[in-house]
Formats: sequence, structure tokens, C-alpha cells
Amino acid sequence: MSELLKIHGLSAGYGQKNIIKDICFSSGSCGFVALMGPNGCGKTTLLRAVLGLLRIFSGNVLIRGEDVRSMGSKKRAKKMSFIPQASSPPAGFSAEEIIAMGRYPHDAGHDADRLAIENSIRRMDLNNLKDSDVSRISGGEYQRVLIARALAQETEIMLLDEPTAHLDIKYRLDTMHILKSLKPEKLIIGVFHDTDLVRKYADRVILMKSGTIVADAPPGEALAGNLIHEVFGV
Amino acid sequence: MRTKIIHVYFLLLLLLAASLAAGSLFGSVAVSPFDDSRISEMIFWGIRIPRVLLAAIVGAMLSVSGAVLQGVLKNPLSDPYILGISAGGALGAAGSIAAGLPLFVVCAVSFISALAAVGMVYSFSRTSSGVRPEVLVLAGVALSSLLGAALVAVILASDSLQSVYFWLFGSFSFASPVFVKIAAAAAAAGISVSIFFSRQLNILLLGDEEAASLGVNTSAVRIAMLSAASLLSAVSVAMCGIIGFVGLIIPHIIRLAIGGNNVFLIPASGLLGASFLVTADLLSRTLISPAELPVGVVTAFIGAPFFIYLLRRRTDV
Repeated sequence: MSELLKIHGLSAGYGQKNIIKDICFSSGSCGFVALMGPNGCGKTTLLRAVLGLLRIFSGNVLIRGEDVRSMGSKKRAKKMSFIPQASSPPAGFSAEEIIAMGRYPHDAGHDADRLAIENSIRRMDLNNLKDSDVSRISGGEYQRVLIARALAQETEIMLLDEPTAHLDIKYRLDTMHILKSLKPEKLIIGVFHDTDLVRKYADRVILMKSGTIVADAPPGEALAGNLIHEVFGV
Repeated sequence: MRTKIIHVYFLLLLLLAASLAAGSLFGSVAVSPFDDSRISEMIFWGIRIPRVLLAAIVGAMLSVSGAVLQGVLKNPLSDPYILGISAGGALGAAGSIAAGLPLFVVCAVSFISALAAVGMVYSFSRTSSGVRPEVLVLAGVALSSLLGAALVAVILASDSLQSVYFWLFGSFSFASPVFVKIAAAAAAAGISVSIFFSRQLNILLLGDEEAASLGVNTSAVRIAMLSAASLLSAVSVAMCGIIGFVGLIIPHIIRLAIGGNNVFLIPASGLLGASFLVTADLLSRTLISPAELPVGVVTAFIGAPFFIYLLRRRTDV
């Protein structure tokens, strides 16, 4: 079976503007990958391009050998789930209704949907929150709801854009812990800023600067002093 | 939650049955289906029943249209009246009636001009960072006044149109079996599209990127839903003039009762909207009987204060 995620010489951007250039990536065996780099270096753009939300100028993104551009939107959503940065919860929806949205791309029938939803509620420990209005729960709790939704989506790849950005330290640790626990079965790629958390939890760091990858290594190596200095200028 | 939704639906059906019964039995002339007299029978089946049915269908159409617009535009202040869709439809309808076109064509022209109105308001309020809710409402109000003025000019210039009242405040006094049939067909089309896309509409509320990552074709849903909402309000307007605020109030009441899930919200809005407009029409023809109030006057007396309440609540947040 061909590799889960492979990116070949990917360039993409907005309008005519090229933001990321010549990105290459191989997922290898699954794991927890941290995408890091200064603001504006193209981390979010890379996630968007992988998700098929952006026009790709050159190169391609292959999932198990199949180009994401040739997939329909539902098929793509069965392969990759996404948790965007600062997602705002819509008023008047229960946590369970938000989680159930993860089943949209699957035409699996009521029983399979129920099972997937209940499993992810249990796994994210959301039983006491499932009937709460999501506009009235905390940011950390909504983050857990979003991860549960991504679990219900049953994808092999999970992409996250700064999932810990607006959380306090307890929820940050919780989130990282949860993501780490998912990695035997999934490829997790997340944008992070906190080097300490990444050191502790991630298996692999991709360091970006001005739209290109400058390092792709285990955290110990990628976050060594001289590289950090070069990329972040600190 | 599920049992609550079932209870609310049961209540809505009861309410609809009660309002249909009241609307059929009461009026400026006392008639009932059990009368023997020929005139009484004619009034009941030929005038009263088509009128009550038309009010119910139009109530459902306007409410579903409002619920859909509030979802697609992610703005709780949306409604076909406030966004100028009704005025756009009315101008198209009045123009084509003045030109002597047949009813079916009148509805089609009304639909196209309603679509043009929603397209204009939407593009005015769209910025690179998304649609700005305040601009959307203000653009709608401005467009509404402009199109309303043009409408009055068309009405005054034409000999064949009924009064300005009819168009600006709505009335069911011209209801006939043909009207009921056309309205029912448009309602069936528009409401089924709205229900069909209601699950996608829920996901669209999360924002375009998140919705796309969940497998929703965002522009297809948006186009289908805006077209359905325009069709529903345009056909209502072509037959009954502009009846304001129904599409605003009804979905809000339902949302308070059962939450924002459009799968349940859209059909429930249709049911409550039907009961509401049948009742409003009953009031409009009995309050100052034997004269008639335009039904839009009744809905505006209820709807405008409600709109201000919503505005205030929004700024408090």
C-alpha cells in the first residue's frame, strides 16, 4: 500500500501570490508532526493546500497515491479532518450536534454514525457536555468537542491549526496528551508555537521559514539552539 | 432533547389546525360549510378557504425563507423584508403585472428581481474578511427604500395595478384557487430544497473552510439556499404584496424553543409561520370589520418592536 501522505514540490498561495514554495514531505509511518515557524512563514497556507482549500500552482499532494485535487470534497473529508484556528461555535447547537457534523462525508447509515459519535464522545470524555449549547462552554471544552468531531470523521490524517493557541496551560497539556494518544492510528500534523510542549509530545518537527522547509527532524535536533536562532531570529 | 422537539412539533401542528379552523369559520360575514344558502357556500369555498390556505402557504414560505437567509448569511437580523428581497420581488411583479403579463411570468420575473436584490445586498456587504452583518442589514434597508420608491412610482404610473396599500403592506384579498395552486407549487419546491440542504447549512455556520474540510460544497449550498429563499419570498410577494417581519420573528421563536439546528428549525418555522399568518389575516379582516387592514400592518405592529428588541440584545452581547 502506498504511503499515507506524500507531498511533492508543492507551491501554493492566494490569487497570483505564491506563499509556499517547493514543499516536500513524506509521512513515513504514522506519528505526531509539529509544524513550526515564525508568523507568516506559510504554515497555515501549507495546511490549506494539503486540504485542497487553495489553488496549487505546482507539485501535488498524494494520499495513498491519489492526488487530492482529483478527489471530490466528500472523499477528501473521509481522508483528512481539520481543526482550524479560532473556530467560533455557532449558537444554539449542542456539542453532540457539532460532533455529528463529522459524519457528514460518510454515507454510512444511522447505526454506524451513532457508534462513531458515541465512541468519540466517550473518548474525549464529553458525556456530561454533550447536550450543552456550544456557545456557552469554554474555549478548552469547545476544542475537545472539535477533536471529538475530527475523531467521528474517522480519517487517517488529522490537521490542526494552532489547537493550543487560546488555551490555558491545563487545557494545552490535555490537548497535547490527547493528540499523542491518537498517533498509533493517525497521522497528526499540527501548527504549534510552544517549543516546550512540542519537545515533550511531538515525534517530528517541520520548521518553516519564508514559505520553505528549513528543517525536518526529531524535536531534539530541529529545536536545537542554532536552528531556532536562524528561523525565529532570537 | 429529541422528546422536546417532538412535543414542539406536536404543539405546532395543533396550533396550525386551530388557526386554520378559526380562519375559516370567522370573518366579516358569518358563513360556515354547514349553511344551506348558495351565497354562503360560495363565500366559504370560493373566497374564505382559498384565502386561508394562501395565508398559510405564504406564512410558511416567508418563515422558511427567513430561516434560510439567517443561516446562509449567518445573521440573525436577516429576513426577506429587511434585506430588500421582498421589495425587489414586488418591483418585478408590479412591473410585469402593469405590462399585462400572465401570472406565471409575473412570478418568474419577481423571482429574478428578488435574486438580483439578494445578489446586490450580498455583494455590497462582502469584504475580504467575510460578510459584515451590520453592512448587510444597512444595505438591505437602503435597497429596500430605493426599490420601494420605484415600486410606488410604477404603481402610480399604471392604471391596472391595485392600490399602493396592497403592494406595500400586503393583502390576501385577491386569493383564488389559482393563486393557491401556484403558491403551493412554489412552496413545495422552495421548502424541499431548503430542507434538503439543511444539514449542509448547519455545517456552513462553522465557516467556509471548516465546512469545506467536512466535505460540504460551500458555494453550491449557498447558491441553492439563496435561490430557494428568493423563490419563496418572490412568489409570496407577487401574489400578496410585501408582508414584513414574518421571516424574522418566526425562526427566532422556534430557535428559542428547540435551538439552532436547521434540520428541525426550517420545517418548524414553516409550520409556525403558517399559523401566524392565518391568524394575522384573521385579525386584519375582523379588527375594523367591515373594512380591512392590510395584513402587513398587523405583522409590522408585532415585528418591528421585535426587530428592535433583537438589535438591542445583539449590542448587549
